[in-house]
Amino acid sequence: MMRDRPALRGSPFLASILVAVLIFLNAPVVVLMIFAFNNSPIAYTWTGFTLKWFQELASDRMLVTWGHSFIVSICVVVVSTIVGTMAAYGLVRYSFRAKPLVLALVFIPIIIPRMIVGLAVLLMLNYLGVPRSLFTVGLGQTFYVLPFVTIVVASVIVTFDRRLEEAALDLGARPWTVFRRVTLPLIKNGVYAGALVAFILSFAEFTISYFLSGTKQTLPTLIYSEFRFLITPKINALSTTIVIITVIFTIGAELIRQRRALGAQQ
Amino acid sequence: MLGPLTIMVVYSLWRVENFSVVQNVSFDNYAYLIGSPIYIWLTAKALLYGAIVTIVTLIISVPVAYFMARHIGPRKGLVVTAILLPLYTSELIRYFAWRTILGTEGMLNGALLRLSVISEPIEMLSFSPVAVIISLVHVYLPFMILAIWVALEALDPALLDAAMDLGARPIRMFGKIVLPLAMPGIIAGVLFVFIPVTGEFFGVNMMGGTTGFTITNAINDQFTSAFNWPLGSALSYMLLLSIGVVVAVFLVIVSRLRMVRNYVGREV
Repeated sequence: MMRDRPALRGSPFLASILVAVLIFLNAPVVVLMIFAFNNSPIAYTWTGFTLKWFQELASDRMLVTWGHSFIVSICVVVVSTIVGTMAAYGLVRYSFRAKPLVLALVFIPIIIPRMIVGLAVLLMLNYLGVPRSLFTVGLGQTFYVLPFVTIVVASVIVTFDRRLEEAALDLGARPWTVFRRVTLPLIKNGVYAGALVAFILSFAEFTISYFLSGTKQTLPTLIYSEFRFLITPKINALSTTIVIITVIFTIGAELIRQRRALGAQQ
Repeated sequence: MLGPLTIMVVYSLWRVENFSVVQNVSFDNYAYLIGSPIYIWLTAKALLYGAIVTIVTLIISVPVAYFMARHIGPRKGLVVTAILLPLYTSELIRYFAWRTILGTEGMLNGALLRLSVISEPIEMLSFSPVAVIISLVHVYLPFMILAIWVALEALDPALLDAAMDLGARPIRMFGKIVLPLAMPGIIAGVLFVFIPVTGEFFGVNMMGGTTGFTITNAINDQFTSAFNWPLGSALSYMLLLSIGVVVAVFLVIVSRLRMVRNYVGREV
């Protein structure tokens, strides 16, 4: 308590800045969600509560697009989590001559604007004669998501005691067994967190998907093509649904992780 | 990613004649770009947006990150979640949200009219550089706050107490202790914000209308309507190169700052 006192002097001011920032960050989305239940077709005059915009969302086309989004995101999560974990493990644990090259390969998409990532992949696909599809969307998203997964997993790998692995090796365990029985359980939380980050980034990704999607669309590209010129409350309803489902997904993943952790302790 | 980027370099050296790509290697595209004031101005505009948004987010983030690292103990998880929450929604949806808030018939104008603060809707709010900057700050602020916060978490409160006991004034303490420690986070945050904002396409396009036109719109036009992919590739590399130059200059300046030199020196 004593230690905190000196710096507390400036804190009412700082606290109010923090509150203002939190409001600024969250208000637009909250406003959007409230007006998803607004009866009026004109965007921002409240005339009464309704669920009709949500009912309009239940069209076949919309449901198919939800399916596309989930398929793409789940593939991106699986691939980027596996590759990202391997990359993180290799980069933290081993030094090898091609290390700068691997670093560059993994981290270039993070230091390049996403539009250019999308266009460069588009040029490559064109060069190879691959037509645009959900697969190419997933490919582009994986490039973009991979560095984030790698960073998250690597941040956990650097914290654990390397001697645990060495001990297992000394006791005669094979490298793969060591990875599976010692390393993986220790970095499990990092891998989960990485997968979650991958899902959130991929599900909301728009710029790369826009340049790489063919006739089948994901949710953000559908939103762009449907509502670009005409904003209706339907977009509020759709956005609300997306936010709620993403949050449920996140909380669900967290609950599963905690139950697994409890199970492991017992 | 190296593959696609290499193909892009190759494309940028080709040419379009009679609506088809001619695979003759030349630097004509680049020569053309250097000689055209429009493309140079559009690139400068993109860099300007990048710089403004970076500076605004930096000014907001330093006090917020400091407060988070120092003063909120048990509620930290909650605050971090509240900062991350907007990231769960696609940036596209957030641009739509800002468009309806800032639009001529939008919420803000409506509220101001009702409160009689203004008598006519402010046209400036929508499709203006101000709208672009507000919405881009909104989208990229979480990255800056988190980067600086992570760096400041390492700040030992005892350092500040010691400085206080020795009679240092808050501003001096901030300059001598907090800022140097925050520097790695600030550098990371600046890169995380400046690069994507400079290369932002949909944000400037949707929020700025014609005033928001930057080099990214020109790149998009070459790829989607003019079908001059070689020129589009050359434009992309012009953008990447100018971002690279600005980032390099920034890093050189930062590494010469006395506080960073002192800090690094002490570590070694």
